[in-house]
Amino acid sequence: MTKASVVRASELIKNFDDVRALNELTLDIEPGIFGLIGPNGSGKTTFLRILLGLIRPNAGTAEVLGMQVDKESLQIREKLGVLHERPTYPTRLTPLRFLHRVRDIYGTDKDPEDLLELVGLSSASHRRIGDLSAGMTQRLGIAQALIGQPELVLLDEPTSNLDVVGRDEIAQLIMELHANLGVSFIVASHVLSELDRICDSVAFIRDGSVLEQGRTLDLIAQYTTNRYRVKTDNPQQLAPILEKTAQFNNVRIVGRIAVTLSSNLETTADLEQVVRSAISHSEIKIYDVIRANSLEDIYMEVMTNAT
Amino acid sequence: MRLNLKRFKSILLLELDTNYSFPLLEIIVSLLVVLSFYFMAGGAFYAFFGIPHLVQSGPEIIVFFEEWTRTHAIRTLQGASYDISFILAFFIPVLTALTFGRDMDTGTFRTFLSYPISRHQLFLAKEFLILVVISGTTSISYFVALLSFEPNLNSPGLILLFLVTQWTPAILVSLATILIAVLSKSLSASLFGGVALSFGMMISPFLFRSMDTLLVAILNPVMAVSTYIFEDYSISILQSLSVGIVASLAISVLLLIVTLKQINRMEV
Repeated sequence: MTKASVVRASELIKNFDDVRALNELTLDIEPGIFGLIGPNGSGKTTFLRILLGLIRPNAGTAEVLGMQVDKESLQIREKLGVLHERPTYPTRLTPLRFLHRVRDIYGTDKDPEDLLELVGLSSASHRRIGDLSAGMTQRLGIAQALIGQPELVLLDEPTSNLDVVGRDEIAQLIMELHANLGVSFIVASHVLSELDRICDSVAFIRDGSVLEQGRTLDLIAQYTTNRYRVKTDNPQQLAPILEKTAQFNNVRIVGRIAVTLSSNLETTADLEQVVRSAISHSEIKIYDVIRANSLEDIYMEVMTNAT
Repeated sequence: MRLNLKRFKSILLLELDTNYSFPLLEIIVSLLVVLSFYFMAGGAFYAFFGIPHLVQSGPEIIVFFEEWTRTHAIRTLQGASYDISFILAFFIPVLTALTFGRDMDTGTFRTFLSYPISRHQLFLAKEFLILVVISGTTSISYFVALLSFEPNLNSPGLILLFLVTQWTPAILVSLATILIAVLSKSLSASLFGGVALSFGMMISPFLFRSMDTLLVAILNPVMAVSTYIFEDYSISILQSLSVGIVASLAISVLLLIVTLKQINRMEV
């Protein structure tokens, strides 16, 4: 384990009856904001639950902040904050009173009112938790995760039930908390848009195994050099045409509005010109040609290469 | 140690806030009122059959009731205790299922265990509150009964025996319901399983009339106390009753050990 690692997992295996949720998962996570990315059912939540000592692995070892999860679970949780996916809190309590109770369990002197202000919930501090909106509940979830003054916070799908604005706000909040409090975050999510700009490093997992792990910028450089995204109204028709074009290879359909491809052409303008001439006899519309350097592009590359 | 006690207190408060706010708090208070007045109502019920024809007016009936409950205090207490045990047989598994099964069903258990709380601490806090509610409501209602029947009812030993016979099945049923909740992680399974077990224990002595007093004392000790009173305070029945209560507590200890082991192994 490197000195700076906050989490290290080695060849974790977890079976639920006949289903293998984690398949020799190995991860080394450094301080910062870490994105654990994978589709639903890929093993993200199982991994976090093992770190919390809520479930035990069938094989392998895991350490959090230098402590072994199977032997020092209580000590780990004293230094850990958690926001579960679809969390349940006492609905009849107010956020303020709930935070007071949780703070007493941790035994810290963090002021709940300060924390509610920090997460932008001070105006609702005396409302009942059951009356809060989904976004407010997520903010409360982050506040209760921070009340114990943790060194590491685990967030499981923190934005999955939020709208676009809510997602952006939570992403912004995570960045601010990391910058102001120095807390490390592990964010497990399948929603890539907000992870794109907040994660220092990421790991892609599927079927309980890590497919790729590294610093976000390194992965972008590794996977998206000479990779482009063509936005179109008809990717199904466009892809076969571009596959036949000599300058392009590795053409892939991405959703209903885009095709990605690799090319040695130097600029997007050159590439757009070649694309337009290739489709000149069809009615396909081209809206934009950009470099494919988002986390979503890497995700598609990693997942496609793995199949 | 000090931190552990402080943490236990915090868990108790969080548990109180989570599970004992409206409507459960109101239900518990209602139960207390019902149990307390059941004694008076029970007294009235038994007095009704003894009202002589010459008693006609309301005030005369009240006077007669007061006199009757004083002279038939033990019988009234026994009858009301017997009826109350049926209310508790329903209430205990429901309360336990609501505080354990529901928390496991909804994920609150997972949320709490993500805090620095040991599984044993959480279990003990929840079970402690259940037993406080049961012992509190029954003790207060018996105290009310004692006040009602004073001065003639000066049998603290018998009162204690009645209370113990209410508590021993309560401990057993609540632990069994928790075990069902832990194994099933389901509100409905723990609710129905707990109620079925509780009522099964209550009615089995009726179904099997020739059941040994020792077994009756384990399954439905209030009924065994009734037999003890009706059999003119037979020493042999009291011995069987005492052994039955000890056996019931021993089974509870066994259940406690199994439940704690299961809670440790439980995946949440």
